[in-house]
Amino acid sequence: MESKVKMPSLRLDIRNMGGLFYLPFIMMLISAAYVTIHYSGYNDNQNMLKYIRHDFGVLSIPLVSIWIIGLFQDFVETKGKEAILALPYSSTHSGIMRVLRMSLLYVVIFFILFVFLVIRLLPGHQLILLSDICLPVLSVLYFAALSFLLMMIVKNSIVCYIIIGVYSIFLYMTRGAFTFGLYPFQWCFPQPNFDELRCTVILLIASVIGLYISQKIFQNKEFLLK
Amino acid sequence: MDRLVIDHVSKHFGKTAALQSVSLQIGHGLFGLLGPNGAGKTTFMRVLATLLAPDSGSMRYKDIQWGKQPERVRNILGYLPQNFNVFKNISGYECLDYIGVLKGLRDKKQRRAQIETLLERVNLTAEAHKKTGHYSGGMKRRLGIAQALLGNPEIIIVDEPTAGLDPEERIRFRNVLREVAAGRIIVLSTHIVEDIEATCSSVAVIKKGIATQFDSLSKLAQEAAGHVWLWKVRPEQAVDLQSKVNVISSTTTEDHVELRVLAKESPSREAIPVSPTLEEGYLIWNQR
Repeated sequence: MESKVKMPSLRLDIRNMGGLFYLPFIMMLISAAYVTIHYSGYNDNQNMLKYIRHDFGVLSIPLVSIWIIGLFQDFVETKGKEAILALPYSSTHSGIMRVLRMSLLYVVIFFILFVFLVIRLLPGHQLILLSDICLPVLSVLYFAALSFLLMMIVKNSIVCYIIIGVYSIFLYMTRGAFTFGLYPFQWCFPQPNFDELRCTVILLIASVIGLYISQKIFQNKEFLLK
Repeated sequence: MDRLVIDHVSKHFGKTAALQSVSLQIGHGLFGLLGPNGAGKTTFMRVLATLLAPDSGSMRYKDIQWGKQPERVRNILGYLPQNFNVFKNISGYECLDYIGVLKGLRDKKQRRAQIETLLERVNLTAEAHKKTGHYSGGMKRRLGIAQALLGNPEIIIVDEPTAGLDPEERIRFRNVLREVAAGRIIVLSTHIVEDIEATCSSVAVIKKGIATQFDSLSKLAQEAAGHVWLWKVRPEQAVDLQSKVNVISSTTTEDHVELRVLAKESPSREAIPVSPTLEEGYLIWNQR
């Protein structure tokens, strides 16, 4: 047997998620369609970007969790997971790399739709690196890292979905109060007291820490087996 | 011949001793691990599969040490756990392809050729492109053994493979195990004596985490030598005796019933001593 390993194909990862793969995708399309239809003909150019970010981003950003949680169901949740855990796979390639690959795909789809909305509703608007790119990317990455971490600890996808859902609602309702800048909705539903750059840096640090801890847990097969 | 050597392996969960100084030497072919539920079989299989680290003791095969080189161990190992119910949204073929990648089979052509051969071997070619979520219990087990065989591992661990299968699937699965046993070690854990009888050439019995190895099945059967009696009685007498003596089995003929009785001494003058079966040897060992 050859000893070198690589990542499972993206196609199989997607197929293995079943219907869960399409859910965030459909929700993003619905959000984009709603924004396009609702704001067509609006002349409020000053606030248009704010509307697009809010109506498109509030649902689209946390929904990356569905993909990430679905990615690890077979490794931590299903009966017979021992068969997978006993395989000589590379923990890095099967863990953090798959999370990053899936998040990247999500971000690409997210931006295609976002750019389409901006071109359609705000022609001539130029995207700003920090506000329009870094912040939403890190918001998505933060939810991806959080989902990875929760799945490793809780090992139950339904419980993970509930935690992420409740957490997202709490953040939205409180508009980031009590979060000390760790607010992944700053891009779509900004807290006026938060500085964008500070928020971006905090999200980056939290995501990196989350990914690191999750990966460490993913390497501990005895823990995953429990 | 290379042997898998397990040397005084112990594993505790809190104060419960799941394995107590287990020592076994396993050669090529099918090796059975027999024991009642909760005896420590699954823990032993998980330790063997490098999923659990033992508290003490060592395991080695050729120059590979379990404690020091778990990655190398995983490269020579195939594992089929009690429940194989993963990758429900993809087909059997895709499932094997996915696992093949995780096993490090990088060459796509070779991997696919191997998958096709294995699917044929376990008789799943016709169902290869069906979602595994729609497979029957028997088909899932056969897919499980196919994934365990991917990459041609030298050691295969199979945990309770026939539990819950109908007789036809059970026989089919045993045949598959016998076919693939040549040139490799297969450790089969079960509480079903019939599985061991039908497939294995040597066996260990485990109870409360303590394992005893027997070089052959007949040696385990001999544990009951002098304890098994054949007693021919009238049908009405047989019903009466069920509660008085330890009846293992009974065969009804035209005018009488033949009882196989397990007892240290002859239960009656009419009872005659007979050669014990594997099941009887196991029962006697288990009652100690």
